[in-house]
Amino acid sequence: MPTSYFHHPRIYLSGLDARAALLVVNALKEMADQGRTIVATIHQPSSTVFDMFDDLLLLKKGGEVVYHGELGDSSASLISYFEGLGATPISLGENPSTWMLNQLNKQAITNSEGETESIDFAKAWKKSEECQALQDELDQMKAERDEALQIKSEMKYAQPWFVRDRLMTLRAIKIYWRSPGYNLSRLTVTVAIALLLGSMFIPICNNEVFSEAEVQRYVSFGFGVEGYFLFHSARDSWLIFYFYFSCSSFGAVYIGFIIIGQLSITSIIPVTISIRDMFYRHESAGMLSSRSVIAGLLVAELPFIAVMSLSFPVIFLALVGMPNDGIKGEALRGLGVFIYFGLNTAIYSYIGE
Amino acid sequence: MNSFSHNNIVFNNAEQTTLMDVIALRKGSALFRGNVGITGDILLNGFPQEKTSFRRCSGYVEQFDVQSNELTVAETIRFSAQLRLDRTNPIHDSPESLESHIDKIIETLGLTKEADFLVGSDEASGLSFEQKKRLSIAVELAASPSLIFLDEPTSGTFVLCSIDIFAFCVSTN
Repeated sequence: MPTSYFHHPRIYLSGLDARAALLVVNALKEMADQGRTIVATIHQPSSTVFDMFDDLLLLKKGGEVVYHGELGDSSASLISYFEGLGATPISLGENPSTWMLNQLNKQAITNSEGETESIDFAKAWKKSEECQALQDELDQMKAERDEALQIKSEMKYAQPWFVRDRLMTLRAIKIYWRSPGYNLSRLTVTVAIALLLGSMFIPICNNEVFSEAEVQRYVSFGFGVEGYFLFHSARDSWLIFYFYFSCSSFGAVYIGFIIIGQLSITSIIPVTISIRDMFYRHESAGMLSSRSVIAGLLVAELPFIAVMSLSFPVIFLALVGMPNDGIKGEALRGLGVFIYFGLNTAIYSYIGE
Repeated sequence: MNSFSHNNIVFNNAEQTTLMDVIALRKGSALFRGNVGITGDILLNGFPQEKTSFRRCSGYVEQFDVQSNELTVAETIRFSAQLRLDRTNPIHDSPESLESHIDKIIETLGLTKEADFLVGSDEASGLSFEQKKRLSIAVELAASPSLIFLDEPTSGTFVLCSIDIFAFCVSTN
């Protein structure tokens, strides 16, 4: 079972507990038994975990190879290699991986004549028989390669684009449905703003403080507010401002658009970040391209945008009380605002994404 | 059985995770190739490594994997299987064969009990770190790769985290 093992020289205070680590490694062993090659980096394994690996590539600081080959039964090959270099013999019951690390930290060893000499384990490896044998084996593999064993896939993705898009869309919808926080907050704010902006019209429109001609006059200046400030009294300016932004439903809808639009952008960012992280992971695994994610999000957003866009005109128009031209006129106006509003929210949300 | 060899790869100041990333074509390893002086051949069954094919036949379990919190364990594995098993793979023939493939993986990784749990976040009683680790492996295994890379499969918490835990223990004394 060609299971490789790379040593990790960094020291962490803690890892998975021994039982959890063993669970993981047992699963890996089972996978290796199915004929898969498992390559893992690992640090400070227990002897049980260490024993489960077949091969070891040991790197020292700087990335130089110190040992590469079979571990042997209970790490016998590894131990005999290091003891052959003059390392302190391993004591009974000592964890071979810990022992091996301790030996690596040594600058000097005692040679066969009992003298102390300095040692560079990386150089020693390059000169060793084991290294030569490994090199020969690799050369032989290269020379005797079998065409039948060549792994070749022409296609970048396992599935055609429509399957990728469909699965990603279903996944996005599921995620949206199961994380209602983001959409609920959007909906709540939409309703609140519709109520707030709509409520401004209740005293004005019902009590008829101003004559119709007055309202007409002030509202008609709507687009020229800045110029008007320069030439008219403060009271007039204030009235223009007042009518422009609150009495004219257009102004109110406009404010609503901006607030809710901004809200859509800011509230969608965390959602998008998590989706983006997920996407990077899927992309590097060769599962899908960014197109599928965009398609998925477009579709998943739609029902929520529809609900939000519907709630705003319904509440707002109910409060504002437009000119009484029958239910049909109301419905048409509602639809108009709905479409406009829906597009606006959608644009903002997608910008956010 | 696959034989996998890295031949004469020379690294300057590179650690073993980088080595694995370079072999597995991950995390900007293309960037390293150009300028940090990584030389050598990567051969797969004696043939030069080629990006598309290599990606399709290998899996990579990152040390800190991301999974969607809102999906269950089984759904996460299913998504990977659906998108990464080749179209011609007999597992795709029927929904039953796909389900039995997924069940087998869940069993291999000992996630049977958690199969219908949401992955969840760390704050909101999601899977434990170690369960997530096994899920990450399961997700890769679902693609049936001939070669699986694992970055620190048995390491767990951050140093900081354990210091926090330790500080907490001291303060409760």
